[in-house]
Amino acid sequence: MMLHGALIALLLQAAPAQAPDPKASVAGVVVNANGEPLPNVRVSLGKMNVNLGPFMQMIVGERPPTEMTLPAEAFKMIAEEMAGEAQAGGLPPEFADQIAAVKAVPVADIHEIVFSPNGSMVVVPKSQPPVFTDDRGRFAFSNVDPGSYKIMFSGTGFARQEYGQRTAGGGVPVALLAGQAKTDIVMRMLTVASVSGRIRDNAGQPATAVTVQLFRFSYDETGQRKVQRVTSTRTDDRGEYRMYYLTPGSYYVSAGNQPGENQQLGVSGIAGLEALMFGAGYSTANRIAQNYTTTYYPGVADENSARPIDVQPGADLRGIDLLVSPQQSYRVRGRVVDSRTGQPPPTASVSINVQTPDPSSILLGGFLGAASNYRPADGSFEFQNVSAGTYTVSASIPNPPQQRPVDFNNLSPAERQAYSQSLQAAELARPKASVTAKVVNGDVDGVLLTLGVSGSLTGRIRVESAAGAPAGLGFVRVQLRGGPGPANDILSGGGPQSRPVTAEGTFRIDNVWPGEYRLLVGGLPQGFYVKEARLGETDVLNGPLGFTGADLRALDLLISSNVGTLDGATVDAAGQPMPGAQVVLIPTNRERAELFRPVVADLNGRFSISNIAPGEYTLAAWEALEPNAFFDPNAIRQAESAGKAVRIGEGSSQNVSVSGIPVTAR
Amino acid sequence: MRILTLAPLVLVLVQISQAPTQQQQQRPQGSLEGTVTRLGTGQPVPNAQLRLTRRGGPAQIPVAAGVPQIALPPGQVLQGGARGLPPVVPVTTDDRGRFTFPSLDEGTYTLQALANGYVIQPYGQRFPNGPGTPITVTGGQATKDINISLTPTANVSGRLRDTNDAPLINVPVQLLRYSYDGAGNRTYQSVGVSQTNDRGEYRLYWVTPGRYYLLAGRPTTGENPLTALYLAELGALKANGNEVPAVTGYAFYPGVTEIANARTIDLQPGADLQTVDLVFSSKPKTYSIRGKVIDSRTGQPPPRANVIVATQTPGLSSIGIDELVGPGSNYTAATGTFEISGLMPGLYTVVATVMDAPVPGRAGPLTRSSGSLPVAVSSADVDGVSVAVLPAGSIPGRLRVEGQLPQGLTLERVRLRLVPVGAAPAQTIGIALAANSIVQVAADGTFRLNAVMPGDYRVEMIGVGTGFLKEVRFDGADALNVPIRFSGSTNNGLDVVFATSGGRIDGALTDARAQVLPSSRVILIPDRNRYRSDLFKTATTDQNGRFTLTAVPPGDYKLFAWESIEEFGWFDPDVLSRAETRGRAVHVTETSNETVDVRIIPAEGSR
Repeated sequence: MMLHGALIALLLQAAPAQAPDPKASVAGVVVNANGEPLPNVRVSLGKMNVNLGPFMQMIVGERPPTEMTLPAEAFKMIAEEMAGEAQAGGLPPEFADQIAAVKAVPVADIHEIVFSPNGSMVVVPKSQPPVFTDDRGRFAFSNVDPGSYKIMFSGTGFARQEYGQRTAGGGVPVALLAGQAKTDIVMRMLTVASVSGRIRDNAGQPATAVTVQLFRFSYDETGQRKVQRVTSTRTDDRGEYRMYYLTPGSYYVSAGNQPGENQQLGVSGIAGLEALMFGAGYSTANRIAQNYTTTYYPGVADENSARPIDVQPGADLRGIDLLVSPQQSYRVRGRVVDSRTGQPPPTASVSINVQTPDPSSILLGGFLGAASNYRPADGSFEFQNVSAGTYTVSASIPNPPQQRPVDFNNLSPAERQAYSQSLQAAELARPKASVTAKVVNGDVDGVLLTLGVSGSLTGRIRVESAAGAPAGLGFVRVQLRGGPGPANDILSGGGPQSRPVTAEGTFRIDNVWPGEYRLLVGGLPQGFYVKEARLGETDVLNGPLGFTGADLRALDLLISSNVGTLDGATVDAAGQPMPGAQVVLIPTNRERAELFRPVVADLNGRFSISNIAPGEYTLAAWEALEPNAFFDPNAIRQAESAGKAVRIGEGSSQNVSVSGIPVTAR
Repeated sequence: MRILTLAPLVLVLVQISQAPTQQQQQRPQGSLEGTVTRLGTGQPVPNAQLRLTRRGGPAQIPVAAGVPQIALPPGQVLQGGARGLPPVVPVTTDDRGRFTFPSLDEGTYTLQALANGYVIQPYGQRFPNGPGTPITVTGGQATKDINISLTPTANVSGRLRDTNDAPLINVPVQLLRYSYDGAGNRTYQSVGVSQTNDRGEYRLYWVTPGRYYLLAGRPTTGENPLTALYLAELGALKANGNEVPAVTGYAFYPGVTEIANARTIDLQPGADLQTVDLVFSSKPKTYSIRGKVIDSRTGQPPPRANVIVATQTPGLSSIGIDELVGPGSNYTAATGTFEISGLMPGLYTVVATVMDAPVPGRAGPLTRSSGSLPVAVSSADVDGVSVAVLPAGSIPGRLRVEGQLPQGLTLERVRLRLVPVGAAPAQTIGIALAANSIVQVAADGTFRLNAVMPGDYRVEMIGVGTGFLKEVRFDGADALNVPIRFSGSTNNGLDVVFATSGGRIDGALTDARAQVLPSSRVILIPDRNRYRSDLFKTATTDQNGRFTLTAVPPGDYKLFAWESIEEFGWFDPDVLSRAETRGRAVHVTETSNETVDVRIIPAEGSR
């Protein structure tokens, strides 16, 4: 270790000297685990807190499933494509604002934009394009605009990482001041690893085309604990699998098939495409599509009893073997009733779909029930060969076929729009029903589908601001979350559909089924928060929104610009700053996940949170924390004892220091 | 990311339709039993699955072999419906390969056998992708000795390495089979795609035996940011978001870039080829195509153009990334020039499309112009390519029907389609543009095909059960026996005469021992105009080996039946020339009622 330190010091000394400058510079060296310099590593400087205008407002709250890099060129092409699509009548007029927002992004100054799973975004400026380390592992950026940056590293055979990264969450911001030359960056790259093994069935035979997943548990932005898939693959005819180029870390492994994965339409029809798009691997028709129940390493059926495997840098972990057993199949039976007549409808489409917790695998799990065997005489239906799992059973009355199919290509833009809208309206008016069916270890009977038509909720946004009404209400999305419908119920039109807010501040939400929802407002103009939301007399901001279907009251929203700001510093037990600490402002009303405000402290341990909705909060900081792990009840408990109560007043501005919770405490 | 969902995402929408059901009456049930054995050795195949489908029962969803169906044309849905009869629960063979369906409702069934490592096989199938022989189950009776022998599959595996010996990672490896499609075009079907792992290893298992080309790598059709992003996402999915060494080259086995120089791999039943290795450069030298786009109406470069290249190398454009190529990326409006770089030597088609800006207040479809040009890249950049774009145009027309339309069919339900002949741009750009060329006929028989891209076409009728195209004239000239050459405008448009009659041919199919052959295919092939796939007709023989062909357009034909032929293999000129003398000639007139018996052509090298 001493030797490595000396080596690194030597390398740093050799870094090219920087001339004094009103701008800043940053330089350093990239080494491997042994401290040897690594050439050819891509280093990019991502500027934080860049204002991209209305685009920022448009994407606020959007979190990609994994880190995503969008080159400016691609961005430009998407903008042009959207504009072209709109011109041709393929997009509804409400998209005008979005197209303008995308177009307004100063792509000429941008090399690429990197979106993180935690919702943050950094911009790699065109003036500071990514560089590659030289033969001695060195890199340098000069003439850098002062500001906060993330430094991102990627190289073939190494895990993509940010400077100071300790968890999957991300790295430490580096604050560069004018004239500052920060030349002591040392980045230790982690060699990627692989995990392989063999999956057998309970007869000892190789289990073919079984999906093997590498995952971790994480919390999503709504505070739900979820399995987060890192990568997945399928076994071959020998039952073998191999997952590679993995970022070292602690992971869980499972083997098995999602219900319906191998059945009927599920996979075969799109096998080749799927293989390429989803990395699911090779598929052939010359086999019996056998589904296996999911087993977790080291051989347990319950994901909560699963044991993580520790994947060390550079490891080639073999023999991660599992036994799986074939899934039993059951029947799901029930009845369809039209609520308007009280009778079974003469025709009905009944389908069964796997509810998958992983939205990226909708196509993989997806559709499986064609043969519902619907009998109009008594409204009964039956699905056979359904394996254990959670399903959405849906029914709808098909619209009568169109007299003349429309030749979309021969329509004018206006006609295209009108046509799409008429299709949408017809779809909304179609009677539908869907319920969740859990198949555990036997047939399911008595699934009752009561067909009805969804309702709409209208509302208005009022603005409280000294500066008058803000521009860009068009980006505000008033959404209803939760509700009775299953989340991925694509066949019955998903859940509530929010229409864009008009310039007058009115809005409408279609396809709302009776039930209890949570209100979520996204895309607010910069510097605004939702102060009030009422349905009649009921506060639906801090409590649930109950929709009965017969309710004609309008939703009343008040947004205000009187947000607060909070600056501060993190300190450890010795009173020293904690660079890279995960600082979180936790609302007293924990149900409102959107009010949790995470931010990472910079190299000096400082942080700044703006646009805070006034209210009571707890401020807490952790030395390191997985993304969204502050939703974990244990973390909340830690925050309650070690954090600091903070009251954010309207338009207030405060400076608070907070003691960080060390990693050892977790 | 909402913004990304706006990029063309591929979604296959499936709609289920449900027809009213009839109640089943209680009738005595029958049973069915048999065995499954391995072809060649006759060993029993245990754990084989038998799937029984009742005729008029749940529709079998056709499994697209080979190239994945990427997107359905707008407005088209895949129908996967139930006709109301309950599906039969599959059974599995025991250790001696035996199976039994103990209680079956009376009726006619088709049976299919599947087993891991064997080619999927319908009972009594006589030709690839053909139907099985139906089995009749009678109440109170046992149907026995339903014996199926299964062909063992083959495996191919190997390792891909760079010229410097490093493994080539995340590279798609596919087997291509040379075949014909229903329109008589030569295609290479991809029968499965695998990807190499971090050690460069790939494995394609349980492959149907046959002759295949092996192709590794992706196309090098230009360096487009969206394409790059898409491919990066694909790689990232496999590699946990970490950077994988990029591979831009490709090769056919045994290491060549042109399929003409490639060697086929003969996969015999039961083969396990383990070292089908390939070495090729991960970063081959690439070249650029540069040139100009000229709007032929103005002689000037258009203000906005989309220029792409489509590779003509088979197997490389089948992953749908052409769809993701955005507009304007390779084109500079100011100079009217384009540049597409990163191309390996090979044959390409440069396609330029221009969508005119809408005129405010003017209804009607937007004008689209297009042009294309084949370009060969060998060992240097190609400069000075000039692509002239011609506007899409309208083709008015009139349809006259000779004879009676079938009951319930009116002119308004008849549709007409222009089918591209040769490498028309519409084919290379994709489904969206090709869909333009379908039109519905008005009650008075008039129609108008809008936004037709310049190119060569022939006319096809859709939605008419029987009948044939008797006459097609374009601007007064014959367009039935020569393709329509459309350059964007027309004086008189199309005149189409459709005759509902046509000749009829009946006959019986026999083998060399004069035994009749049920469930076999008979193919009627025209003596002339073999580019017109509509003149090719097929029929499947019934239980007694008899077949019927109706609505045969007048002309000279030959009737063929092959013991072993691939689907659409009769479009292959080599196959035809070998068999030409063995066909039964038949002359058909509009009122013919011919009886022609056909002798099957035995499989080559068959016992």
